[in-house]
Amino acid sequence: MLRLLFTPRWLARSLLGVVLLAACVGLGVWQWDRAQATLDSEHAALEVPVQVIDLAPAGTDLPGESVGRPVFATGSYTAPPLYVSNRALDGRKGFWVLSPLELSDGSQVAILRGWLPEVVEVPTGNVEVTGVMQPYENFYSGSTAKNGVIVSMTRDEIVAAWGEDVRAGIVNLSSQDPAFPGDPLPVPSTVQPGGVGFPLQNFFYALQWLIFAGFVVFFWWRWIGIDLRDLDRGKEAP
Amino acid sequence: MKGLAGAATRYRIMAWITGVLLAVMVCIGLPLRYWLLKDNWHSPVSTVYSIGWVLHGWMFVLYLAAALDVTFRMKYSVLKVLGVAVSGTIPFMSFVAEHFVKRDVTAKLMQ
Repeated sequence: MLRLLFTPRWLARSLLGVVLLAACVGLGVWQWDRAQATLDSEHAALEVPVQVIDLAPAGTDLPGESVGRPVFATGSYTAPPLYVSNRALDGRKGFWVLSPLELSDGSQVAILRGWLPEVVEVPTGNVEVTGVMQPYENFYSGSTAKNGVIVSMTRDEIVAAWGEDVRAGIVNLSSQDPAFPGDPLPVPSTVQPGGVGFPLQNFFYALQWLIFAGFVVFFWWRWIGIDLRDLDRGKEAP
Repeated sequence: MKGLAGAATRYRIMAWITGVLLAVMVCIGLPLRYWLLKDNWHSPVSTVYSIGWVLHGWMFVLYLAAALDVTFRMKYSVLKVLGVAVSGTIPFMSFVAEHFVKRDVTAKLMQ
């Protein structure tokens, strides 16, 4: 076999095999990197804050792909807030405060402004806010508001208080400019953005290049096997 | 010679499947995707388009296996083997390659 390998013909064939093998592996790695780059950029895109009106349509539930996305909005806290009972912050019992923010187009979006130890009036006015989109809660969905106090942030409760056209979901406040004295304490967001589409095309191309690399090895091996057999039978290799 | 007819049939089937799929992707898929939708990567058409290429990728794997098998049995030269192999990735070329392979195999089987 060694003598056959070092004939000029088989040296050339082996060299071609190595070149093809390297090309297949290189192209496979390139497609793998492209798949990773696509994933990274899709994840990064989810981290960029966007206008709340782009993620929260009016008159419906929050679309799944909006959950956990950072948003910003400019508007004014108008109507009296809703107070969500039985919410603790750092072990202290209290209330969450949910205010409608009226946007420049006249629509409203629910802002979870934070936590207060008791039901007290909260400041109103024009603000710029950033926050994280979170879906409605859906437990205790049959209950109704009493004096502006609700037990869970369901769509029904919010629509009953602020009208059918309120934008979907709840913005969990991260920052507010200007801050007012007497603002509630912001509560940490617990939702995460959903997954991103996996770049299957690049991933499979990477896999396929590895399969092609396997083909190169397989056929080199099969070919030299046939030449060896022919040599043993005293024929000249093709 | 044994198994050559079967290998040729397998190759011809894959050449047609790969060729038709590639022609559809290039003649219908590409214009639809890039002229109609532009940068809208999240429309369902984009998803179907991407699935089309994934499908072509796997069909090409089978095409390549069948092509290497039949060209090996035919004892084609390395250049011809590479030519037949690459034909599966060039629009309409797999039909041309299939024509020549079929002719050669028929001639060899007639001997």
